[in-house]
Amino acid sequence: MTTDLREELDALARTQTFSPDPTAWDRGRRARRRDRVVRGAAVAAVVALVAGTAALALRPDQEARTASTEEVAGGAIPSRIVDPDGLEAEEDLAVGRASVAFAGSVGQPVVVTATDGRYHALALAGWDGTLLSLSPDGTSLVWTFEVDSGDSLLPMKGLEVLDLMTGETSRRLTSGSDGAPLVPRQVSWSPSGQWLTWFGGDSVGRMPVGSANLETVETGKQVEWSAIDDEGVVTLYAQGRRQWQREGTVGRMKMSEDTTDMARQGRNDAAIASPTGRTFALASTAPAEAVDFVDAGRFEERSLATDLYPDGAAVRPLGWASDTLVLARVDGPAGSYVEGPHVALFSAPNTPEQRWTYRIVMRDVPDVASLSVAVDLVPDLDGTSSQQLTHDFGDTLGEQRDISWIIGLGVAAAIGVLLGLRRLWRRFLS
Amino acid sequence: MTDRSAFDEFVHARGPALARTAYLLTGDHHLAEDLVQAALVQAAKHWERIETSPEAYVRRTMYHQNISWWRRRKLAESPLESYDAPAPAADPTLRLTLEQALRRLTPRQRTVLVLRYFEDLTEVQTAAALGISSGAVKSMSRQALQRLRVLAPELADLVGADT
Repeated sequence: MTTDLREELDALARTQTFSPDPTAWDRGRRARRRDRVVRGAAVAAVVALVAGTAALALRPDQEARTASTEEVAGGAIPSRIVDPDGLEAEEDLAVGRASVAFAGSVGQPVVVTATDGRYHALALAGWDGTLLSLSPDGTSLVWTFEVDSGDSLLPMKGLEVLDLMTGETSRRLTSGSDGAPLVPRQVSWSPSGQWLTWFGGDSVGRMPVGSANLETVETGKQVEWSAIDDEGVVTLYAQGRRQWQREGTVGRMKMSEDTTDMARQGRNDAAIASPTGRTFALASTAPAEAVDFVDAGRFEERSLATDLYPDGAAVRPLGWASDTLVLARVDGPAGSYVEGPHVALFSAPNTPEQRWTYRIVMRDVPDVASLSVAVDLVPDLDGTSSQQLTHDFGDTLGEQRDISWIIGLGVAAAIGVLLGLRRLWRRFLS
Repeated sequence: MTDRSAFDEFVHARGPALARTAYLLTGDHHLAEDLVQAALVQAAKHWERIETSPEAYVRRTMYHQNISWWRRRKLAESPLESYDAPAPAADPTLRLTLEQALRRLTPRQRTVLVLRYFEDLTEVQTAAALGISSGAVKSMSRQALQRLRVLAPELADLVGADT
């Protein structure tokens, strides 16, 4: 049987002809090269995934990282600030409401968005690297600029205001009494953020935000600080307190009975008006035992607790969280209860001393320039010491860096998987 | 001799024999050609490893690919008459009857039959080539012959009586 069957099968098989495919060798070699690439990619993907998983698992701040994934409706002040090493500058300036702004130590203007705590280095046109200030509600940012004018030897200087919600900017040129371009030394927002005042040399300026109007007045004296209320009235110090009314008149304020204005010279270099417009928080130029205020026409001192700051502290107000509460950057010298830069919320002297409060809001603030905070994001105090005034967004900066790394891993893994699937597919087809 | 020329020489020398086996395995001239070419591409891919005995590799590749699920699906797409219906006796020659009956075997049955009765492999060698047990080879071989008898009773002399 088998012999007959074999003969018949052989005869049957001989009906098949053979025509060699000249491309077989090349196809095989290509497949070999492809396989090597696939194997390499798969190994890289596996190594990357293992390394990525291990790195994520071993991160010490795992809890904080997961906390950062949430967004806070309306926004919040972050519980900590980090000075980024260097972020990619963003051309799209409409980043949304910000909680914090500062000039990073690597020369970048940085804002932290209020809802997610993420850091953004903004590509601000012409920013001269000095002044940067966030509005009380965190929706606007003002900075000083200096750019070549093109047809003049003198550069153009001034202020530029950015609407962080829309990304729109408006530029205002500033000049001194001699008409020469002048870079403002300080700016101060009105409590509502509707007005801005600036000063430099003996000049003081003001402008309604979003308007093309910019008024400047010469005092003839060196201006040391200026603040503006929601009515657009500017209070300033130029060898004595003065007020610049809306209609344009500038007059000396009534001298206080127990303090001479001249004795205050050189003591303060910035000021912010309270929502009532009657009290002004002043920035101290050197560590002092008290925070300076002007309240109802009088200079007032709000003593710092000696157990917290035995040698005093340098206090720079960031804004008013309410009619009686000031948020400020405090620099505690060595030996203080809290050393170094931190942010504190404390009562102003326009409230009875028995109701004073002092809360450390943020510790270990990096020593960055032009720190400003959207004070409207400070919640109303509920009277308990356990109330959280800030939000822990986690290590958003680290996460921002990690994301690109993880995306890279994901892409590598996806490519590896796709190549593997392709290889399997071709194997089944062959 | 370069790898390419060695490969070409192998294809030239053994291609026709491989094609004949492929035809019996597939029962279709086009599929046979496809099967041989696919196996040769695989051989080219692994040439450095198999150049001492390329034919064994190519044949093993053909056997496995012929019974792979993908190829089985391809074959299933070709029109079939009712599975166990006897082949029409109108075929003038025994060879054509055998050809048609072979096509109605399953790929596994046909492969075992080809290895056992065309390639003259023992049950043990067939089992090793297909990666299955000798018992399975024996069983499939018996089933294949039995089906040939059912499908084409006129092949009884060729495939032997039922046992």
